[in-house]
Amino acid sequence: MNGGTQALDLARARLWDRSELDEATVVRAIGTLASRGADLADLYFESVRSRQWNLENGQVSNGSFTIDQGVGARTSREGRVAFAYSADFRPEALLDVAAAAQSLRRDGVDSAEAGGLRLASRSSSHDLYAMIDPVEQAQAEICIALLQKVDAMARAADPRIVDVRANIGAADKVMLVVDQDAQMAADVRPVLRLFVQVIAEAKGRRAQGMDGIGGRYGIERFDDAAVGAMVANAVRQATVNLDARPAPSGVMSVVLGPGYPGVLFHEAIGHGLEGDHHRLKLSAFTGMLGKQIASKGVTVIDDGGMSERLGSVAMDDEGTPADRTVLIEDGILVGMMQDRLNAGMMNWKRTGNGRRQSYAHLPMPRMTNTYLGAGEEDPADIIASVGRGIYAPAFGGGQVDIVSGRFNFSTTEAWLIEDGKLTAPVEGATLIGIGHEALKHISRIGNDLALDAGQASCGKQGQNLSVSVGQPTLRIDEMMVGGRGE
Amino acid sequence: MTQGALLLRTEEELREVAQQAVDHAGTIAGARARASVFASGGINALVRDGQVDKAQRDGSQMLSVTVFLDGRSGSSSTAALDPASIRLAVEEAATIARNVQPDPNVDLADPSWLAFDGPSPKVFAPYHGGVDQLVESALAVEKAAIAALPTGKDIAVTEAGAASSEHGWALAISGGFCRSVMSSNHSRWCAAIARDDNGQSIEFADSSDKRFDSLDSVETVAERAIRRAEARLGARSAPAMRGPVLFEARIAQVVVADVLNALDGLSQHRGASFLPDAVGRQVAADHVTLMEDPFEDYGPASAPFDGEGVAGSRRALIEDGIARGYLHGSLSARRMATQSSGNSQGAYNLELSSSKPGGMLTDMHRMLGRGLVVTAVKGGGTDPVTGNFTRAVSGYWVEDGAVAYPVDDLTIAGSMPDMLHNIIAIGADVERQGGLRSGSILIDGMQVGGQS
Repeated sequence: MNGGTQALDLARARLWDRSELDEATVVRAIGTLASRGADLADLYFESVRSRQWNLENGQVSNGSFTIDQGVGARTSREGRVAFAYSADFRPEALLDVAAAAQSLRRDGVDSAEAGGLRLASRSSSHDLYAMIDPVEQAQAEICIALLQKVDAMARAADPRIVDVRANIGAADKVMLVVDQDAQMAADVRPVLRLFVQVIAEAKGRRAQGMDGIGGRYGIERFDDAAVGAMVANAVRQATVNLDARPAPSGVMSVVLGPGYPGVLFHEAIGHGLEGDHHRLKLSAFTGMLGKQIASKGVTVIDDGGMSERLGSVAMDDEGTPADRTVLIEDGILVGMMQDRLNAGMMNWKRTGNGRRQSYAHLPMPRMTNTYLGAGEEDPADIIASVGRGIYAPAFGGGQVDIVSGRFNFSTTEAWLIEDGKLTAPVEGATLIGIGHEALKHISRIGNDLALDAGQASCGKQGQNLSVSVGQPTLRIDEMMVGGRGE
Repeated sequence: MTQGALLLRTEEELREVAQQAVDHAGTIAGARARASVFASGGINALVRDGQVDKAQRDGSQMLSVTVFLDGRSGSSSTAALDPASIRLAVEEAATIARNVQPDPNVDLADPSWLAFDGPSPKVFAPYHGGVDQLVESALAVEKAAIAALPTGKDIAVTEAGAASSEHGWALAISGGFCRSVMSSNHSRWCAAIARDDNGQSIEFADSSDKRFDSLDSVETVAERAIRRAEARLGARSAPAMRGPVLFEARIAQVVVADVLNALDGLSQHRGASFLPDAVGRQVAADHVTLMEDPFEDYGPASAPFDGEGVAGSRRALIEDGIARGYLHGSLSARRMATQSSGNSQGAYNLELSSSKPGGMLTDMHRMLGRGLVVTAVKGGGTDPVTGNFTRAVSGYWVEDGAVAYPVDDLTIAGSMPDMLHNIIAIGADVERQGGLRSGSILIDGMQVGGQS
């Protein structure tokens, strides 16, 4: 169980009590932000503790621990925003930061201070992730043993593995947000991640492979099965890439593997359906709502309420409960992801997508766990259906230009398909396309929907967040593949 | 040196905090420490349609301390800088150091490497205006951009902005090292959208400098954004081909960043570089030189020493195509039995040049003859181990040595070790982007992927 009064009590103890911050001061600060005709204001308190252990050369010879904390103060009127933040929680500092934000507003109207506010709680409890403390769990002994096991597993898996690097990261975020009506909501969010990178060598040639797992769960989830599967993926990638030939170049059919390759839809569609670019009419999908933008059978969903996923937030950073938003249903664009400001201005419902990297960043509409739903085809049949193309089960990440819809992403493991068979591994290639056009070229959808194992993250306007991505095996006709072969 | 108005901590306060952390570590038997304190303050205004769309006041601080105990180390950071938090951070770092495994190469920089004194380039020019002046400057950029809009074309200004920030950094190390650096950064920018039958695209232009007075003028930034947006109208794909590609000076970084990764000491030692055992070897065409300079006044990547207290030096990383040095911090230097080059945080200011005069951009077009000029890199990457290079790009096409039409939706690919040898020329059209000064770079033997 998490959230509710339990999370609120913990948040108040960790964020307010240590700095001798009381309710009266918080009410005064939010009153300042809500004055002068503000139609949106909030105070966002946050404390993050994190721990990391690194292995290289078979040894864990360093580790780190960080405490970051602060408060962000926002005040807005008709979409125009003023924002200030501080690492200092003392009462006088909080009043200063609220006044600083308010003084940045140049469009204020002269009206009385917002008065008569009383703090009230509106967070409810949830069971998406437990109120555990992975930072406390991630102590030296257990993490060093785990990382050395990763090292041993990788070297034992294949004698060609000559170098292993791995790290464990644990974080515990406690947040509390107070809005202009003095409504409070709090959440406690654990993050645990394990990452491995290996180098294989044979006949004077070297190649690398990498993989990661993670979630909002405790360290007991890093059991032999989960760790073994991650190591096997990284080792396979490195050894396959030892034999890779130059990737082809040109327009061809591409089959994407299940799971992390869903980053394609995160980039190609997801960002274009975030409310901020729509409000400014700057999304490539502007004006396409209600229209058939993808092949029939294509359904894309953003769901912040999936159990223990890194993209899950029981409530977003503005206190809006997690939601499951259907973005594309059977090929038709039906939904959009919103934060408070954009939902308010567009007269749209809030969808629980108002996320921020930290107290030092403004919230904006962001994805949570975004995936393309399963179809009915056998993945083997999908590969067999391709005359000449590439099969890509692993990617290094991608980017999108939200305004034009142009996206790209780069393979870290890929194979040539010839006459329906995987014939040879190929080197990394960059795949490019335009979101709404690529959607129309999805011709086959597998029955093997999977989400990534916990290695995904997302950057937008300089803010990084953990997300999840996913999809089943998919065939996309006509994608531009940019390898160095001809 | 004048204290600016944006930073909430004085330089002396930052040094005191760093020194307190090192002093506290000194009370732990056998421990030595390095403590770094950063603080920054800034203001940032984004305007749209003649109004402030977003105004932001930044203020952050962080103490990072690393404790060394018998070949082991632990690190800890805290945003709270009160004495109790400083002690806690030091003790947490010491606890980690006691629990990790020893590595004989993990230690503070050798005292003989430390920059107890030495040149301190000027990097601080505080902002003396207030929020209102910054907002006025952002509004002026937008106004100038609107005035520069061409008639009869679907181009609009989407935003303009201005920002100023001040940064303080103090570094204290057991054994009596305690130095600090104050720096500043100022910028202004503009974005414009161009629409045609194929869709829409946004182009940015910005100017960034340590000195407010050295920024490109409001008009220059505004006009550059409009010109870039206008240049995108009518963009189409291009024919696939193998041959030369010209990288415009403003994106030269895409080539140089890979070279820096390959020359990084830790990558070299791990065998994770596409230029293994590079030093002394011909790694690029024999007319190519890459110089590093930490000490240029107001250089974007200038600093008197790195995060370990070691100064860099003015030197060649590549000279006439031959690699002359690696980027070493203490750890990689010890592993490779050499000295730190003061690069634990990466390279300082860089200048890529050629002994063969490449001429201005139009001369470079003539040298290219027919093919792609890259003006923007949208994504992609380079495998650090194999050097396989692949990118999604846009730019314009050149036919018979002259600009023909704008292009988009293209890929380029090559092998980094080959690409460096295939540099035909570097232009005299020098621009500075981030810490790199370079002209446009003409590279032969690239695979261009296009659809027409």
